[in-house]
Amino acid sequence: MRQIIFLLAMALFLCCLSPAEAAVKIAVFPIQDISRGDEGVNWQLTDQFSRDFEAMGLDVVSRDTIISFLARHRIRALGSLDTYSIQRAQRDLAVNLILLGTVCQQQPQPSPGLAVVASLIRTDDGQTIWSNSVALSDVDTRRILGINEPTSLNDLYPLLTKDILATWPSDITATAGKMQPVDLQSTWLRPTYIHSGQEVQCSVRLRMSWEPKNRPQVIFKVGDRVLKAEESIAEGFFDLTWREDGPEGRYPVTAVILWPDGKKETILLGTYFVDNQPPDLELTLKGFTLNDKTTFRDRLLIIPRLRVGEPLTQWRITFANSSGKTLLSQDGAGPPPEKLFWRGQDEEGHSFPEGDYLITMKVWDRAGNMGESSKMVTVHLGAPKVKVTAKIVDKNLVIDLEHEGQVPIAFWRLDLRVAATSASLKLAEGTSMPTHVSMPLPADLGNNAIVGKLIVQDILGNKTKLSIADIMALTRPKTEEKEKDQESGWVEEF
Amino acid sequence: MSTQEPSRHRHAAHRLCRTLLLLWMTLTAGCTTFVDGGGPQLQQLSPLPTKDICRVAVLPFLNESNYTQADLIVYKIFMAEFNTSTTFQVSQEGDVRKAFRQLQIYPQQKPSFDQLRILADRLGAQLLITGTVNEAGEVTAGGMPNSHLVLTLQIIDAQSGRTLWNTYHKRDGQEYQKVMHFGLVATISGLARRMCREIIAAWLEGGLKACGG
Repeated sequence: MRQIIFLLAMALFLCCLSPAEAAVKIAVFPIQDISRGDEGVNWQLTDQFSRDFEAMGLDVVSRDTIISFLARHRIRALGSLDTYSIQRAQRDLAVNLILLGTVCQQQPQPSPGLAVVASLIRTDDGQTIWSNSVALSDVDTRRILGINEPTSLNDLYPLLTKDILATWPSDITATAGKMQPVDLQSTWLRPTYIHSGQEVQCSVRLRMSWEPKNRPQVIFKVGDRVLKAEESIAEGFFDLTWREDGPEGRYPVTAVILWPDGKKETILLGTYFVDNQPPDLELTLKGFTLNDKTTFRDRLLIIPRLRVGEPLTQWRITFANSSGKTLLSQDGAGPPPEKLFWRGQDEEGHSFPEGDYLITMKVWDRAGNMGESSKMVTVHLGAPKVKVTAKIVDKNLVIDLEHEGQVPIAFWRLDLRVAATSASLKLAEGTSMPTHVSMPLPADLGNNAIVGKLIVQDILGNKTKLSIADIMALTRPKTEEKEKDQESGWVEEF
Repeated sequence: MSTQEPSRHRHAAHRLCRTLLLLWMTLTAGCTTFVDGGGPQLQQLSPLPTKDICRVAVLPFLNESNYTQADLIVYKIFMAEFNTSTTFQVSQEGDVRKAFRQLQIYPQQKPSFDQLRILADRLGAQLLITGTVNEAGEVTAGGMPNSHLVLTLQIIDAQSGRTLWNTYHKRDGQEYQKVMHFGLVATISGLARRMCREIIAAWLEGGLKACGG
């Protein structure tokens, strides 16, 4: 029933068409179907539109002719055309109108839905003279009495072209003033950021053909400067390379196309910037300052920062020893990381020897200007030096701990035990030196020795472990000094 | 056969319900429950150029939502609706995409101020329209399909690259629902079509006018 009504409406429309309108030639380009991927085509809808236009009395270009046209001009993107392709279609296909369309949505579930946009382009002036969009779903088409309700996509299809052509204009003006715009096939202006003295390359390719006597002249205008472009062997290709020695600033470039008949067209090609200022880089090191130098053991925080923010294209950080030999380097594209941790190791994980090192960071901006900042650091690997003495005061054992190094102590711990039984006598801890540890001498100690184990760690992480076999020996005069078992030195954390 | 029987009964019951509903609606004509969820929020940051505006270019939209191709769907629909509702000369989508390729502006990349000026020059446009799909989705709740969409569109002055008008629009398909399922907008495309029309209407009401219009 619906189709009968539609055909009757079309017949009525045909009766109203003037002879001039009946002669209009239209190309229905393959309907793009983005629900089937970037290059999806919906032939079902394309053919439906063609049939509808034929029924309206329009002269419709065949599908094969259009496919041949698309292949010849290497047009892959459907659903839209650029002005140049519209001109070509007018010339090659002799069409007044082009119908472009896109299936925006096609979903069978949960609610069958279909959405299409269509537009009609007049080839004379490249203008869209009609367009419409229709979105249908089963919900939209439900009826009160549920008669002839569509329940699937296939049921929705026939409704679509009818709905979308419902606003088709009754008075299409298929001809208009001819357009002759210059078609830019490609433009090139590189680089965008330079420093004084660098070269700029600019090219324009016009997609037109002309008789030798009608050959245009192309000039590039950079501010007030006029630079004549050179036409290369390839027709329509104009280019020029020039050295920019001007001051810092922004340089817009336009191409002026001068035709022998006096016609002039100006096209903005782009802008380049001259920047001679190197990035102002500041390097901050987070570590312990000893003798005015940042000192660390295995963890150094390096924070690069630009005093004046600007985009960066590249960075490099190097670590060199006191004789200037680069021992480690790292680089990357874009801005450097906000923070870098250095463990005081080379690429293979070996710790750098104790000493002074120069950290240098270099960064480059978009114009290739280099900014640099260096800082000296000291790798300090020495274990904390602690002097341990002991004395007996009023039946109390008093142990004095004295730090002899320069790096402050982070913490210390002294564990005193009876040598024979390992019974704990005292466990003392602290975070500063000098200090002393006191404990009453056990009445039942007898001839047993007191073993002391001392752990000291400085704020850089260097650690000393000291084992004293007989603390009481330290209380006796030096002449009675006995052999003591002392172990000290580096102990790696990991 | 036996499996189709319950289905037929259901359909018959459905139709009976709708017939009763039709009677009820006839009796209570005029008492619709349409709720307008609010139109587009138009911010006129700067006045439109005083000279006649003839040519406009709509740049590809950006997609911030999780809905694949939401940007393309809304862009296509907006282009169609803008061409339908206004008398502006709208740059061909093909020309816009070609200019993007020439300037090496990649999909989902926002053009810089300079690129906007060049685009406008190449396309001969006095105004540029940009858009972002902030949120998009289709859900089925309680057996009823529904859609939602959040859009932000800008009108940009081609000469300066400055945003003149900013429009935020948020809609839910159920906001168009009248009685039962009637009016409900189930798909993103359907909702986009409605919302684009509302945005364009708000712009026209706000004073956007084509030359000679």
